[in-house]
Amino acid sequence: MRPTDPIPSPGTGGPGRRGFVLATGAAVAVTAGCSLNNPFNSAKTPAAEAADDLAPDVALAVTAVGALAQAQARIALVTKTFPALRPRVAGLTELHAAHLQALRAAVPKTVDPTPAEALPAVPASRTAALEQVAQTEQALHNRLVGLALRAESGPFARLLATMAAGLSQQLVASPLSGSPR
Amino acid sequence: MTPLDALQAALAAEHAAVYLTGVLGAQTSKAEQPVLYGSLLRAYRAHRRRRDQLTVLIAGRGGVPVSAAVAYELPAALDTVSDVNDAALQLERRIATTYGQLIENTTGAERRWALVALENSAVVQLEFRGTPEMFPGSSN
Repeated sequence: MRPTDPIPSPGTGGPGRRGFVLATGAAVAVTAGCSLNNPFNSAKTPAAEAADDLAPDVALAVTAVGALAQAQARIALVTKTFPALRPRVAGLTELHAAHLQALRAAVPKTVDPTPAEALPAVPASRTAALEQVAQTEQALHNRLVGLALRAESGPFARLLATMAAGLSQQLVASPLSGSPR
Repeated sequence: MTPLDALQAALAAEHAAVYLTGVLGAQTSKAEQPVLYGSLLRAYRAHRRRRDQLTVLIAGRGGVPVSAAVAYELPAALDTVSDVNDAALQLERRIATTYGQLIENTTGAERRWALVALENSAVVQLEFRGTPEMFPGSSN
């Protein structure tokens, strides 16, 4: 940073999101000897079973996609029950889509990241339903932070951290607790 | 970039942030713009706290913490409340990117610390009329 520069200008080096996805793709390719890489096997392996056969950061990506998919499914279920809540969670919906887009390519096609457990039923009141979404989002945030801490790749850690920070911004900008508007 | 380099870059950024938020606070009337003034005061204190924590982290690694510059070039326009607000928002966005870089280049407790700093900076952006981003603190 130039001493006279009032606003620090950090380096923007590093491979960024695209670089991470390419790097993890390579990591999948070198995970030799497991059924996940068998081109003749089109069956999908559940994420929980696949984790042991994946490179560490790929396993984290699978976990992150699973957590995001669960949050997305929760919102879909709540807005199906209470369509009026759709504008209230529109920002989260867009955010999840963007985050999934950033991670999808890192997940091997033969792995099914969808969580095995069924989602709890939607509560009868809108307030309680929103509270349920808030809890899911908080859990997702905590999961992303935990994964960022565990990531071996620096760029991947950064990606997960920026996703968690984006989620925090969204939850502060559009709080879910309190009476539904 | 080594972890120490990344910590030094973050410290240099926080030195500049302490300077700039001080100037922005001085440009803001506590009586006429109490909300902006309060946000700037909280931001100033947060940057000062993180500057001190980074100094400790760097010294703990055996490094010599970088010093603050004597002065920093200010944004071209700070004539209106909007100018001050925009400068504060830009500052927080750049700081968030610095912490993204720190996360990328550290592990363990230092990365954990940087994660908290990134989150704080991302949320503070909203106080300066920032809108939620998809990936605050990313390099692209």
